Amino acid sequence: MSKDSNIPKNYFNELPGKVWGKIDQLEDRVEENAPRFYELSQSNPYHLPEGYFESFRSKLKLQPKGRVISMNVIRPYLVAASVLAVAVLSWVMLPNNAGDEIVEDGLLYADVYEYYSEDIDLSDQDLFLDFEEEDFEESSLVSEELTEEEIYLYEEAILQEMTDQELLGIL
Amino acid sequence: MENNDARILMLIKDDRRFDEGFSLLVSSYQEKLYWHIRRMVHFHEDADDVLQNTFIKVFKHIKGFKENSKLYTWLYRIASNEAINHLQKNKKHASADLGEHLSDLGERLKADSYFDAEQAQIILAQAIESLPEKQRVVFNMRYYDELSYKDIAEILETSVGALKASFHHALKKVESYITDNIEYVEG
Repeated sequence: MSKDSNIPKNYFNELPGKVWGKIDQLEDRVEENAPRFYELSQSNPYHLPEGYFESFRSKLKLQPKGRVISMNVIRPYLVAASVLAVAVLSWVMLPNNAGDEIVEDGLLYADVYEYYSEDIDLSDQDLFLDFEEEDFEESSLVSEELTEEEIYLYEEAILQEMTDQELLGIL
Repeated sequence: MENNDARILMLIKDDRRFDEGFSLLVSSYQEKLYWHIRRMVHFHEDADDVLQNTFIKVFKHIKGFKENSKLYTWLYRIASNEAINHLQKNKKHASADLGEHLSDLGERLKADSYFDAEQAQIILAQAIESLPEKQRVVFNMRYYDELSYKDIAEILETSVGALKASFHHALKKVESYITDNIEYVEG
């Protein structure tokens, strides 16, 4: 460059060091360079509950095998477990509890299970109040698709499982 | 600090003394990490959540800690990430406008029973909050946590030069914010 002679030798080599030196000085003199911040930063406005650190360790629950759990971690599992419990209860409490068996009003158990599993944010009340026939229109058609022979075999199977006393009650 | 870290790691490596090692880790670092997190998130309940999540993450990964970095720089990195994740999650529901966000923070701090609701301290909190999240981490680590640039560089995986520039810039911004707003309040 033609103007090299107008600047001291090694000027550009030394410049970064000089700049960092100035930055270091600024940083070391926060009191002078940022007096209002420095003054305010001398007191701590944040407080915390008494004994917080003493009891903090006990909040981190250790499982027997040494795993830490918190409510945030187990919450999704609790929700899933609740949904599963509702599904299992429905399975057990409704009659003819087999995979694709038909529930009263033409519903399939599989549909009931799916219904409970889909909307995990609903409360129990929501689940039961909104349990309406139109939600299951497709499945209600299934019973109409059974042949007469299938219905006959199905009835036979039920009759075979009934005791004499129960049969007498029907007849 | 480093002697204590060596003891913590020695205990943690021994399965029979793992719990003792982890308890020592928590008791040694809970306060430092709490204050680092609290200055980022401002509110005690949030800081408590983030601190718990930090230690749970530490617990899950401590066995895989390779000692390529110091234990406390590794802990600060996890705590910083957790705090930033927490802030970003909350940001999704908050206003995108910085002025509105700072004013909302001021109102919430005034109502917070774990904060000295002096106007000047609220302005200081807003001044630091006005910094971009990563610059805020650098600023807090250097000024309040008094970590060396070398350690911060290890935590944030960046150069010492970039950190010095970042701190210097942040300090100027914070001072300028305080000056403008204190004068506005006093005037």
